Amino acid sequence: MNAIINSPLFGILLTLVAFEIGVLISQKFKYSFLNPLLIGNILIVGFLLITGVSLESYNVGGDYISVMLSPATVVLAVPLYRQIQKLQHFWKPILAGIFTGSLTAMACVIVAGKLLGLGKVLTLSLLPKSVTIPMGSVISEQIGGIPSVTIIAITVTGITGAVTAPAVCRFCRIKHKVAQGIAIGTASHALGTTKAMEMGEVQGAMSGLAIGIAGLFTAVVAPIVIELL
Amino acid sequence: MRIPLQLAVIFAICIAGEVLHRVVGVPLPGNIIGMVILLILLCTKVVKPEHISGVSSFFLKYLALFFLPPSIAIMTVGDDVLSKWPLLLFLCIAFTLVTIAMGGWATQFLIRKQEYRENMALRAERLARRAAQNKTEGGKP
Repeated sequence: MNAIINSPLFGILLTLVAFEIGVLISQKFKYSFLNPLLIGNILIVGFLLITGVSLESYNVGGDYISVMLSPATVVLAVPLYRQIQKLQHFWKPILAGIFTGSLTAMACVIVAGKLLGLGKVLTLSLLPKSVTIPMGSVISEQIGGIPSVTIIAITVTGITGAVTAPAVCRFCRIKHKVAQGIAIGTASHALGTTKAMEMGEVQGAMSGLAIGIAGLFTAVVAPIVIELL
Repeated sequence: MRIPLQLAVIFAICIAGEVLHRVVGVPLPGNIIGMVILLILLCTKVVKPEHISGVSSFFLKYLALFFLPPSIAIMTVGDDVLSKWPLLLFLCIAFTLVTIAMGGWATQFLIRKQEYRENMALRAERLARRAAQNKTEGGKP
């Protein structure tokens, strides 16, 4: 039995099945908070806890999928390239808006970390929570956070953005389509972008554009910001 | 391009990114450097989106899958983090709302400013053209 559990195929199969169940559930119920990643995570953690299979055994196979994070990030350049024309006209407001959003996200975490005494490691883990997962997990690792905590925080952030974005835009009178898209992409990365695409073509495109730029900006600024801690 | 070749291109870019990070010492994560490399290759038309479309659309479509295994490491976080989860959940939600508002306001304010400036420039141009027209017409008896 040990030989089977420690085979890479075990972890790979468990990941694929949990993910597909997550996709099925999220498609069936259509609630934005039922995110495939979140459901898959709960299923796998539950499975490992119940059966007593160790995280190390799971990771023998899980690592084969994790290693694909790097190419998955690299191909984010493709949607970024497709939107590059739309950047040209409003590039100044767009860049300034993304920087403002990213700085706000980081400032919130640092202030809360100080006021609530979250501790350095936890604060660092939350710092890149508005960045898309492939970038955020790497940024977290680099500045000394816990990537798994960051990934969960990023997922919660993304789901929050996807659920609340239209209401927040209405409440805050953010009416310009470009501004709506930039705000959503900067705050809640790819998960928020799914909602932005529903709101309209311009919003979707701008949100997709903001993901990469906000990630790059955070990757550059986060190591500088943590010097202030 | 065939899928194995597409994969080879993407993986080569990943490794180039890692080399630039680890060996050359570029202060950005290797995968993000890789993204910039691919963006440059696309902008300079060395690589066309359709060259790598099979692999890129696969990775983009199933993006969330590749984050599932790293997220399982949540099992290993200490009780000190786990005991704070209601607070952390609240913070993540609250900060997202603030970030959307701030990013949206800043972008909208600056876009409106730019549009106002463009409109003024356009109007000034139109007025100048009309003035010039009046002058030439006025010159005739």
